[in-house]
Formats: sequence, structure tokens, C-alpha cells
Amino acid sequence: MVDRRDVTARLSQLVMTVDEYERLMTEALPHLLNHATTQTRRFLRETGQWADDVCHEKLALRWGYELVERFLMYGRTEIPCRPLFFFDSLIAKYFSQPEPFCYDKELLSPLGRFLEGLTSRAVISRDALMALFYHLYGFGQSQVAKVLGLGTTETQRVYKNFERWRRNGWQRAVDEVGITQEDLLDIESHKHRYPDQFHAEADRLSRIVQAHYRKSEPEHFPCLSRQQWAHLFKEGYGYDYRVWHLALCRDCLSEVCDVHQGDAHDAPTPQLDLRIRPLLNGRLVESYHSVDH
Amino acid sequence: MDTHDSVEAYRARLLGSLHVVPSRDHDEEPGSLQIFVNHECVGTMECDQAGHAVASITQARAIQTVEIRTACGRLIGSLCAQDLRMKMARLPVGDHVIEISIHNRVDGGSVQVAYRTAKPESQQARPVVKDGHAQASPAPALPSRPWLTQSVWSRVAMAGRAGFAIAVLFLVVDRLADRVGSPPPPVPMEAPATSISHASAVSEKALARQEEVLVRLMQGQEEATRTIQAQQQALARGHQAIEGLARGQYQLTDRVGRVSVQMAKLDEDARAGMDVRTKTERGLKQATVTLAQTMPSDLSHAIPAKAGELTTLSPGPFSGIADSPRDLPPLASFAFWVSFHDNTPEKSIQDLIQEIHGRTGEANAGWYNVEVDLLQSQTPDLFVDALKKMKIVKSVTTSLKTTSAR
Repeated sequence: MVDRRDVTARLSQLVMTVDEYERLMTEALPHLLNHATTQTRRFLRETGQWADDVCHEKLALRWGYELVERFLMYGRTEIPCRPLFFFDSLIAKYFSQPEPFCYDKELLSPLGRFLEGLTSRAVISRDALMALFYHLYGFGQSQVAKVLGLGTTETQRVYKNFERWRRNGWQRAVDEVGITQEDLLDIESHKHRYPDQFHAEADRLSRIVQAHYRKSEPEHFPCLSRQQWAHLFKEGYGYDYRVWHLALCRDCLSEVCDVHQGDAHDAPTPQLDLRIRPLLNGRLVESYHSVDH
Repeated sequence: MDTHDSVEAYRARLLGSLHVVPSRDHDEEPGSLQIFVNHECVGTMECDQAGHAVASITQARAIQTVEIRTACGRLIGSLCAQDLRMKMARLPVGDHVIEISIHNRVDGGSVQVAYRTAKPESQQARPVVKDGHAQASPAPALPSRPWLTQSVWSRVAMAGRAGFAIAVLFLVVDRLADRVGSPPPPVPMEAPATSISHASAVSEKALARQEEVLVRLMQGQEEATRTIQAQQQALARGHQAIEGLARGQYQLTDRVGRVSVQMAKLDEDARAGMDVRTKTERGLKQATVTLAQTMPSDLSHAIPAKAGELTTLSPGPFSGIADSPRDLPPLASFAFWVSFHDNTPEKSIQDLIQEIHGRTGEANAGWYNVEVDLLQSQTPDLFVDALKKMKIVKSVTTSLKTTSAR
């Protein structure tokens, strides 16, 4: 308790150098995570989105973690500063955004948390963004490159994205989102026993999640009409736009695939076919995962 | 695993991820970097080990945060510019540095992100920030070269600090000496020790302010240099465009001259063609007349309208033997003898003679001596053949004594 007060006092004092800052951060990480989690919990309570259960506790922890991760990096360029004051200002700024989190009671199920975690990861990670095509529709690398109309160089990058995602990206994302092995087994069991119900639920939840995270795109990235998509692919521009928007908008993806099929490009059809684990050299990551745990 | 354990395990995992953060940015190849402005991904920047990359983003809104993440989502650099007009930061990433520069204006903001190889002395350096409020945070003394130890650098830094302090003290003493020499100020002077410390603090503040001003000045100068370079490039492009335009105009003038010459030539050719056409038409008319002369009178109605038009100069129904046109001079007269079938009325005979514009001479045993004027294209034989085909004509001859046609 004394240590905690001591850390709080030091975090409130002026830090003059980067070294001092980093030393303090290393010592104060648990406290910072607690602080951010408490603030998040408070925000959820005040907005009527809180319940005393594991899901909400994990949710608060996860969002607290993301705030601390940002603070650690931002703080290095804010020296000299009083870290705790700066951290509070960052938290306040983040919570003052419209809909800072993707919160929906339906997303608290294992499947909902998986879909939400995967999509939120895709917003900050190119690897996860490309992997969305696989996890949602079962597209392989070549199919992704075909759908997005990528050139040779960009296609190579897609292969790298998939490779990194298989190697450690998926595992790290699952860990940081708080999906346990039990959760994964529960999702897979549900998928196996009630395929139709599972498909309908996955379809509904993925639309909720995609609609929320699509907002993080720049304002000039709206949905396009069929003609506009056809023109964009014909003229060969907007590669970033294609990747960002099509991974997060199923309707536009269907339009684009339809356009490609009209042009006889042998494009796949985007039907929801949720894959929980990535393929690892022809086998599922399950064994890889179980070795780790 | 009960509820509490589950949450604690998750917390421990997250703390483990956070502990990795300070060192992880030095051991990962960046590859494709994603740039987030105000928590929105605005683009990617391809970085390799050898070269460097620069990205510029302009937005209509003020820029508050910039984040740089790797393709796998790791945050390797960020800059916060809340309520600031301008802010720069240089962040080390392995043996490279990321330079982030934020510039906010009334009508929006712009960000420039550069990824380049770090200079050897700055590879191990800590982030350096320059902004509108806080002064640059000096990097602590760290070994920048492997053959120099930490202690050597510490000593160098200590010596530098001591030198700086001596210089400040010298300035303060110099200022105080000036004040001693000058008339006493209206306010009472403080004790010497207090004055020195106060003056030192004031000098430090002044130095900080000057440094800040210098930083701003430097940034403004860089901005101005960039603007001038852009203007020079625009000017060069303008010159090139003008040169291209002048070249195009010269080529156009040249082509116009050539076209004029061709037009004159064509005009000349057209005139020659007109002459030829006139001559051809004339010959055609003559040929038509000749042809008409060779045709029997009962076929005269079958002459096409065009040919009829060409022979309108012939006054009589017997178009083959018409009046000579005004522009065709007649030949010498041709005299012949003609006889008619029995019971041919004298009127029909006279009509025919009148029709062929013949001049009758003496008559001898049913033969009439007639003289006509023939055109250039007409020959006596053709004329006689045409005349023989008339219904009332029995025979035609040029000499009664020797020849008798039919």
C-alpha cells in the first residue's frame, strides 16, 4: 500500500529526462494499468454499460491496456511532464470521443468477443486486416490479391501479412483481446453442433462490428457504387482504399466480386464462412496453441 | 479457473505485453509502417533497411495525435500535439529514426513523417522533441560509439555542463559589473548571493526563450526554403511550358505557310483543271453533235436528256444537221444530189431541205441538187448516211453521172 502511494506520488511529480521517465514507467506499469482500468470501468458505469462479471472486467482491462500502451509512447515525447496528469488528460481526451469503444451486449459472448477483437486488431494492424478476408470468408492469399486487384509487389506484401499473422499475429491478438483456449473451444463446438444458428449469429455480429470499426476510416472513404468500383479497378488507383474498405464492408466486397466475375477474372464469392484459427503449414494453429499453453 | 483467477491471468498477460514495449521498437524490421492521425489510419509508408521514406498528410481538421504502427499493429512512435501549432519529434527505431512533424493552422493541419537512417551518434539517442511550449529535452549522455564507455561520456557531459555553467556565470558577472558601473536603479538591490542566483535563473529563462525562438526561427526558415524551392520548381515548369508553347507556335506558323503554298498550288491546278474541263466539255459537245448526226431521225427522241441539252443549239427537229453553233465555225459547203420516193409531196421535200438548211439548185429527172454547210466534225459521208435514212429520201449521190447511192 505504501509502495502504491509512493508510486502515485512519483507519477505526479515532474519528470525531466527520458531515462527517468522509462525507469518510472517500468516500476509503475501495474499501477498505470489499474488506473486506466478504473477509469474505463467508471466510464462504462456512468454510461450505463457496466455489469459485474468477468466479461466486463476483461473489457475494462483490455481498454485500459490500450490506453497505457499509447501513454507509454506518447509520454516519451512529452518530457518534461507530470506523467499522471498527462495520462489523465489522454484518458479524458479518449473518452470524450463519440463512441470510443465498440460496446454491445451481444458482443460479450465468446463469438462476439472474438469477432470484435479480431476487427479491432484489423484497425491497427495490416496483417490482421488482410487476415480478416480469411477469417470471415475463407479467402487465401491469392484470392485476396485477386479480389483487391493487387500488382506483384502488393501481392508479395499480402503473402508476408498472412505469414506473420500465422506465425504470431493471431496468437498475440487472441491473447491481448482476452480470448482463452476455453473460449475458442466453445466457439468451435458451437459451430460444429449448430452450424445454421452459428452462421446466423456470426453474420449478425460481424455486421455490427464492421459498421463500428469502419468509422475509423478517413472521412473520404465512403461506400462506392458499382460503377465507381468498376472505374476504380479499371483505372488502377486507390489501393489503400480497396484494402481498408473491402475488409470492413461486406456489401461493397460483394459488389466488387460481382464486377470481377463480370470481367471474367475468376473472383471468389464473399460468403460468410467464419474460420477461428489460421492455417499453419496446412494444419490448424490449435496444436501450436496447445504447445504454448 | 474461477472468475478472479481468470481476470488476474489476463491482467498478468497484458502487463507482460506492456513490459516488452520499451525495447521492442529496436529489434523489429519496420517494413510497412501505418500512419494514424487522430486515431484514424490515413495511409502506409513502405520502409526498407537501405533507403528512407517520407509521407505527408494534410487534413482539414487540427492534428492532435500521430501514431506510427508496424504492419502487425505495434506502436513504435507517436506524437501528441494538443493545442500546439507546431511540434517535431525524432524517435529512434533500431538503426533508423522516425521524424514526425506536426503543423497546425487555422484551416487544418499537416503531418510529415520521415523514416531515415540514423546518424551514428544518434542511433542510441532518446527521443528529441521540439514544440511551441516545452523546450527541447536534451538527450542524456549515452554511449554512441562502442569504443567509448559510459563513464567517458559521463565525464564529457559533466565537463560540458560545467563549461556551460561557467559561461552563464561569466555572463551574469559581466552583467552585474555593468550594473555596478551604471547609476543605481530605483529599486533597492538584493543581497549579492540572492542577486546572482536570481540573475542566473533569469538568464536560464532568457536562454530557454531564445532557444525556443531559435527553434521556431529554424522551422520557419526550413518552411521558407521549402516554399522557395517549390516556387523555383513551379517557375522552371512555367518556363518549360512557355518554351513548349513558343515551339508549338513556330511549328504552327511553319505549317500554315506550307499549307498556303499547297493551297496556291491547288488553286493553280484547279484552274488548269477548269481549262481542261472546258476543253473537254467543248469536245464532248462536238462529239455529241456528231453522234446525233449519225443517228436516224426516229431515234432522236431516244437521245438522253443530257445529250439533248448539249444539242439545244440545233434549231430544227433533225438535230444531226443543225445550225452551226456560234462558237463552232462552219466548213465549206457540200453539194449533193438527192431523189425522193414517188408520190412524195413537194411540201415534205421542201420541209426536209429547209430542215437541213439546204440551198436547192437545179432539178434534173427527179434529182434535186442541194448544197449545205457542214460543221468541222461532220464529214460528207456521215451526212449522206444520215440523210439516206430519212423516210422520204430514195437516194443520195454527189454526182449524177458517175455514182448512184443505194
